[in-house]
Amino acid sequence: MERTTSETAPGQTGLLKPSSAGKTDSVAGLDLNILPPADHRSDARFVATRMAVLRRPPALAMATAALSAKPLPQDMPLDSGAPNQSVSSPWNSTIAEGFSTDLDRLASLDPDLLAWRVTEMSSRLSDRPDLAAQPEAAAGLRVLGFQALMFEHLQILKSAAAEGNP
Amino acid sequence: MTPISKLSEADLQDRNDVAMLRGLAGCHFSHGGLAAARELLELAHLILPDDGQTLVLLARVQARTGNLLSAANLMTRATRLLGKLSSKDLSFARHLCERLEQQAGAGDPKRRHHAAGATDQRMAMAT
Repeated sequence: MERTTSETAPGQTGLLKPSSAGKTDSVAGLDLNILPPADHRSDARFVATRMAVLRRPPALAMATAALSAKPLPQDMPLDSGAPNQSVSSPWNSTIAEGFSTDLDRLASLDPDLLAWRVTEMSSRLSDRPDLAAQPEAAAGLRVLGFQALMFEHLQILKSAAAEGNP
Repeated sequence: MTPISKLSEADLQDRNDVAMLRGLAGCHFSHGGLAAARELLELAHLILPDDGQTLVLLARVQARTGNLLSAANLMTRATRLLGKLSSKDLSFARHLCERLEQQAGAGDPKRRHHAAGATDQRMAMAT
């Protein structure tokens, strides 16, 4: 199916701007123009394919990390294809276990609530003048903003998929 | 540390935000998104500079990327803020010290001696 982003006027969805001519909106191979135009949102097959791509966890990490201006260390593959694949040695396991408490807390939240809280937090922190004044905060806010955007996309795609498969 | 009941609403919100940022950083970290994890943690550190746990996680990211010295410095600061490390963090600190010693041992004996002294100092602080 051929799709063009020009079908959606800027600001129509409030999510993504359409691609400019000759420029591809993709990050780390992930097409950012994932939102179908309004008249195609009930196309369940299209939506399901896009959802499958988005739900692949490394894609989110890849896309988010690729947005970062700082290069990743050469010895750390960004996307090994499977979660925790690169965490193999006892040393790496020792490092990773420190995140378990915060991860468990996050995992205990309802996915919709989590999505809402990330979106709300992203918007609130971006508006904080004390953070806006610090250049060190810009990268973190960008990652957070992109994460919120991804959640927003997933929410819309979920609704669209539900419309397509009553 | 101030008891939760005495925290203002803004302080509580900051704490919640930082906890959420640490969790999100954990998601990225576990999928290899080290740069994204570091940036979220740096943002959390800007919101609550006195949060020792954020510094511990930043130290873990630095250690994962091979910046052992930077990780050790962050752990020292975190230990000062937290007062006492959890068993997981203590285990990490011990491994970090061992790694630093090994790294220094690969160089000249003077550096190794210096690193061993610094490690003893850090361990004394952590325990």
